Amino acid sequence: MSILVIAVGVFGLITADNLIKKIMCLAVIENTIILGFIRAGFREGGAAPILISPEIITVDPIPHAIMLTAIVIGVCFNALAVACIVRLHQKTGTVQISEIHEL
Amino acid sequence: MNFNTLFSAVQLDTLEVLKILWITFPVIPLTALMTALAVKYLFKQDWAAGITRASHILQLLWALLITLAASSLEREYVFRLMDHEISIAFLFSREKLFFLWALMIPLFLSLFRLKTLKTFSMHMVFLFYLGGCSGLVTTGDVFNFFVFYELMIMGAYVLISIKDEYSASVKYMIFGAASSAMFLAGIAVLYASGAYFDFTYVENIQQLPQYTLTVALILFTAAFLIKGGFFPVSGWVAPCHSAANALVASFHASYTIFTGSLGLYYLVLLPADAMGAEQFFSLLRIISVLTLCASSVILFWEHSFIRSIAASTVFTMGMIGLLMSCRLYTEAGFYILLHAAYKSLLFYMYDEIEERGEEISLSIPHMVFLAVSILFAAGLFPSVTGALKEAVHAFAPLRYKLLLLITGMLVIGGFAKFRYRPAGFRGVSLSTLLSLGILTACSLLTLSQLNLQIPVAFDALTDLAAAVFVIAVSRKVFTRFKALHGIDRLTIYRNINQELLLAFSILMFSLLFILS
Repeated sequence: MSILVIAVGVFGLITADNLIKKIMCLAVIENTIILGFIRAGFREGGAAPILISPEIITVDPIPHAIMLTAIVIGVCFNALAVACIVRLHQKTGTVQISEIHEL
Repeated sequence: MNFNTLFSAVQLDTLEVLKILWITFPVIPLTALMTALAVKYLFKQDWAAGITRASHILQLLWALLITLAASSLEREYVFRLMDHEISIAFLFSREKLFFLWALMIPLFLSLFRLKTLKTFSMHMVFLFYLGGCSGLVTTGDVFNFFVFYELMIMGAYVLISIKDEYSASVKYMIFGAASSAMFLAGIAVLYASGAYFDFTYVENIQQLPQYTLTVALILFTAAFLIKGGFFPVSGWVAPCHSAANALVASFHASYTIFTGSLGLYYLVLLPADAMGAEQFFSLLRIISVLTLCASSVILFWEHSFIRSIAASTVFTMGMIGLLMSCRLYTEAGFYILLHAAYKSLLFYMYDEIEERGEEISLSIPHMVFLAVSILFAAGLFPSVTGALKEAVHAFAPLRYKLLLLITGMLVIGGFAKFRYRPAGFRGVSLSTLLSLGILTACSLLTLSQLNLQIPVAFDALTDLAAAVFVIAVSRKVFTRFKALHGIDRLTIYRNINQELLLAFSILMFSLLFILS
């Protein structure tokens, strides 16, 4: 399922003419990878990773901790990308790739 | 007195000193950033320029001390923040010194051009970018490599638009994010294979599931081939590097793009070597040869001088890839160092010359500096890069000799096609003179450290004769075939969608090549 969603994101990224749509496709790809990563740390029947006793099976907390950082980076990227696209729109009057010569 | 005796005199362990210096190195620009922000918003004072300068000087001092300490130590050390196997790790190795100094060269030169960062916010972005660059050199684990890469590249997105060229910034952003997504997917697959994130997982690589690891390495390969601007995903390099001013462009061309080769070395080639997966080396060799051929042809037909300078970085990237695919890592390291010096020289010099169409007006000293830089860029006798290239001849003498001679000639022709007009003895800026000094120092260092083959008289004469021939005919060929001007933008890099398609096709090609 993850691969399918990533494929949809990649298709949109390659074909979209609108820069905002491209950024949205990138967000789809990145968030699917993040979900997949968190899924990799899941243990069947595992409890929340709070160690009350060593016998209790818990899910692996490392992907959660790491992906929090990746989510923050993703949000920063989206904000920065949209800011740059707004500036580009102010300069060229469009966000369509086919209408911006340099792209 | 060597470094060991110096520190033993004050009862300090050299390794402990190195650990402290290495871990605190990326903290310097980030602390400077926080300090400047605090001063600005608490005391309403703008000390950005002074604090940035202080941060640069401190980092240069740190780099000098690290190099001195490393001279008396062994090759590789892992420093963990906590005594636990999943703790954040920093890795020091001799190879990292090349990347450290590839960063320090533009950093030193930028001390004399800081006034080109006109606003407080640009200083802050610059420090943020340097925090990412410094962390990338010191980190020893895969995930922090990703985090520092993102810090660096986010700063780079903003710095590229320093002259309001937002289209270049957006282009860089899209390619940066697409490659980062592949990098993150690679980290996820690596985690799924059961490997720890620090670079030392390579020691136990044979015990891990090989198929999953191979998929992770393929994703890393595709990500770093894009980040490193290898062909066919090199269309973004020239517009992005030429959009910024000399200070920013020198950082991007000397360091940022070469972090692609840093990633390839630590995350692909070393693990592949430990796995015995020779296909990764063959893949890199094929792509590097393609990069050398395509970039030299593109450079020859490029009609803008600044874009030609930027495009020659792709050619160097191909050369570095070729050296690394032949396991000539030390030679590749010295090549990166020399490239940082001559590329900074070219970008700083560009600020002092006048370009009108295909006519370049420059003073006599600039003309001499330009000739030296072009020789280094093309890797021809008598430049040291020419001697470094000789190392790959041992692998396939005739094929590589011909390939490097023809592509080197195209690079020479790419610069020789412009009309140069001497403009007396105008002054040369301090930063340009210092770049030349650094280039000389790096050349002497390379010659003293490596047992380089001096080209035999026949090879040297072939190089010179071919160069003279190319200089004589390049302008005529260029003007005769006007339809081929900007050939890359007419064919493979028509728009960003086509370039993105190429970016994902490189992933598919890597996947098919390795798994077949």
